[in-house]
Amino acid sequence: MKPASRPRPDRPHHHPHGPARRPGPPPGIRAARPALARIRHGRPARLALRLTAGLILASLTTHAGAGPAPAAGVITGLVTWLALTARGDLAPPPGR
Amino acid sequence: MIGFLVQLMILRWAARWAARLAAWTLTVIVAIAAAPVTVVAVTAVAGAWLRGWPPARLRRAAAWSAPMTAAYLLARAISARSVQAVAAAPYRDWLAGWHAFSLGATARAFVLCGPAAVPAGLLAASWAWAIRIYRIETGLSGQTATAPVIFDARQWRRQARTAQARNTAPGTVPLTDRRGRIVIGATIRAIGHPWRPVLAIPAAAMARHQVIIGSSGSGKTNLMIRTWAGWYTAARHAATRGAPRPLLVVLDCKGGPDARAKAQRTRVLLHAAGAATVAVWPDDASVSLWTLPPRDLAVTLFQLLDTADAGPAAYYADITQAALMLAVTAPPGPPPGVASFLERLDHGWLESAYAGDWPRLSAVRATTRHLPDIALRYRTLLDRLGPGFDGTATLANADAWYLILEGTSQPSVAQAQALAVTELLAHAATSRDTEPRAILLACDDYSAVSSKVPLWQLYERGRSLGIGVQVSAQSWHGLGASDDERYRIAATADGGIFLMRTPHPEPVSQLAGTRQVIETATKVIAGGWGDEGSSRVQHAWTADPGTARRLATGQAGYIHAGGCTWVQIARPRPSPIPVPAAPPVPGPAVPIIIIPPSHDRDGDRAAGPGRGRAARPEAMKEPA
Repeated sequence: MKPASRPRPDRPHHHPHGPARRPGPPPGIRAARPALARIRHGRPARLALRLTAGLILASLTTHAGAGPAPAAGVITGLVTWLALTARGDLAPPPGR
Repeated sequence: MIGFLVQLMILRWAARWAARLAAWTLTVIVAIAAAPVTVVAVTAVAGAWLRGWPPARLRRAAAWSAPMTAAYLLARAISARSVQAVAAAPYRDWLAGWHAFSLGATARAFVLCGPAAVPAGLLAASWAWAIRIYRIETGLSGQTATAPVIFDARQWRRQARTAQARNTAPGTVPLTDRRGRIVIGATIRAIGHPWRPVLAIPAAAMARHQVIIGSSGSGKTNLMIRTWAGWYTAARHAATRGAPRPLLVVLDCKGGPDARAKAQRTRVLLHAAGAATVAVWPDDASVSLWTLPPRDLAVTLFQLLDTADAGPAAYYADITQAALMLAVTAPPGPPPGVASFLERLDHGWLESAYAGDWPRLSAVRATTRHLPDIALRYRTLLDRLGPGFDGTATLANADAWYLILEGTSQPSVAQAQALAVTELLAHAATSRDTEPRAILLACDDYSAVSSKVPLWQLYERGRSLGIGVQVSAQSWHGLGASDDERYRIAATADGGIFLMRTPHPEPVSQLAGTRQVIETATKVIAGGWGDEGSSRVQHAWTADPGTARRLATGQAGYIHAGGCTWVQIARPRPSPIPVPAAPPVPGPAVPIIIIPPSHDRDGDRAAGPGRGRAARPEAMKEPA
């Protein structure tokens, strides 16, 4: 017959009214989780390609030697293009 | 005299060609001088031609590229701190760009000119593309007389291909957009409506009436499931802001194995959209007919029977109605189930129930002779209806109901069931004891069961009860028994009409109306265009019936407010990210629905803490 088990003294103490709550992730990570999930469930390869293209073009722009004002304009255009087109590569938000 | 006339003609011809030549030369000079703008414009027009974009698409692109000009001018203003320098900056950079280009530094030339050239080029392209389309469509341009037809067919193919590609992007076609509108799919072509890349209709359109017409294999099921899930999502979001909770009731009036597959797809999608309980009737859920108010129950039970309302048979109909009223409104209260109801159709039971109530007792005695026949008829009828109406739940106890009526294999039973369901729904909409709900009744192929409750009646009843009604039919003729009835249904579809591939779309096209177009006739001389011609204003279909006949699977025309948007319907897919668990809604803990655990397994990769069995309260189990 198996002896009845006793609570071991080195076990963590649980609150008598319910299980202890594990500390959640930091707020920054919690806020980023949905965005990461949308990237993971969307088209991450295509998004990465888009980002890479944007970065290469931005790098070419800054190294073209055209001056800061035209470069700022072109980079703004690139950022706008990325913001508009990258949405399609993300999965829809939960419940939508 | 003849020589003078000939000279005059030659002079006129020469002057005309000289003017043309001057105009072309000037255009070429301007195009070369503004080479960066020209390059952008030519590229954009070529892209629009190849992708089937409308000019509006280029205008939107021009508007979205305006921030780059703004950032460029702002940066110049910060560095120069002078209005004159900022105003002169595009010109100076244009000159610098030419200089860089001549030195072979193309990238630098583009960066210098880009912030001003891109929006200007896109705007110029939209203008040039609109003129090109106008000239082709009106017959003012083109190599042959068939040019407008060839151009239109080619552009349709390209527009459809682009729309299909857009639908593959997961973030472009969610069930609802950020403004809570129901997303249908990527736009192919918009006539009389403002062009948007994706067609999204307000959720309020579903709260009114909507008609879907499409033959078998046209993609009607996809469209319907998408609109249901979209409506549920939008209504659920509205409910978090204090609006009534949604209740979706789908009547699949054909039945059969297809209906089961469709129900399963709908269930998975609705669970992903946040619906906790999706009941499929009668396969794994039942509803109680006996929760209707006693008088309504008596009337409904009477209507379920096929009775004559004229001639000698009307006498028996009246006797039946009287007996039903006595049995259902008897002092102990309405019957709680089939067995109790049939037990009451007995003179002994009725006499003891109405003991002391002399007027009703005499009525009981008058019906005594017919009671066994009436009981027999109802025993047979309720047996045929099956156990689906003998449960304990009401329609309000679930978030969505998918009711399968076997309209193809058992039309008379399905018709009676449809009648009972509409009564239950009316009760759910008007009951003061339950919480108010935003209700959508979707009827797929309703014509299969419409003999007891005609569709127009359902429409008018839905309107008066505040229920949105969506109706689908395989053809125009499936909408109603007569043209009068069909027009009554289609003309009152305030939520719009979805026209899919169908062989007889003319009545719907007529409802969409016409638009004014310019038609040009040009004289042809010896195989070439002559100098003479005429243009006139003509009326053309807004929703062209020829286009509707040729639609591919999954294409539809959304007709609303005198316009038509042709759309490629996106296959409804749930968001793969789990919905956060909703707080429990206080309400009566009524035992409700049988949902076997296996149903959430199939394909529901979105199953999460807020959906499926995990989210279902413990009360949602059928009592033993």
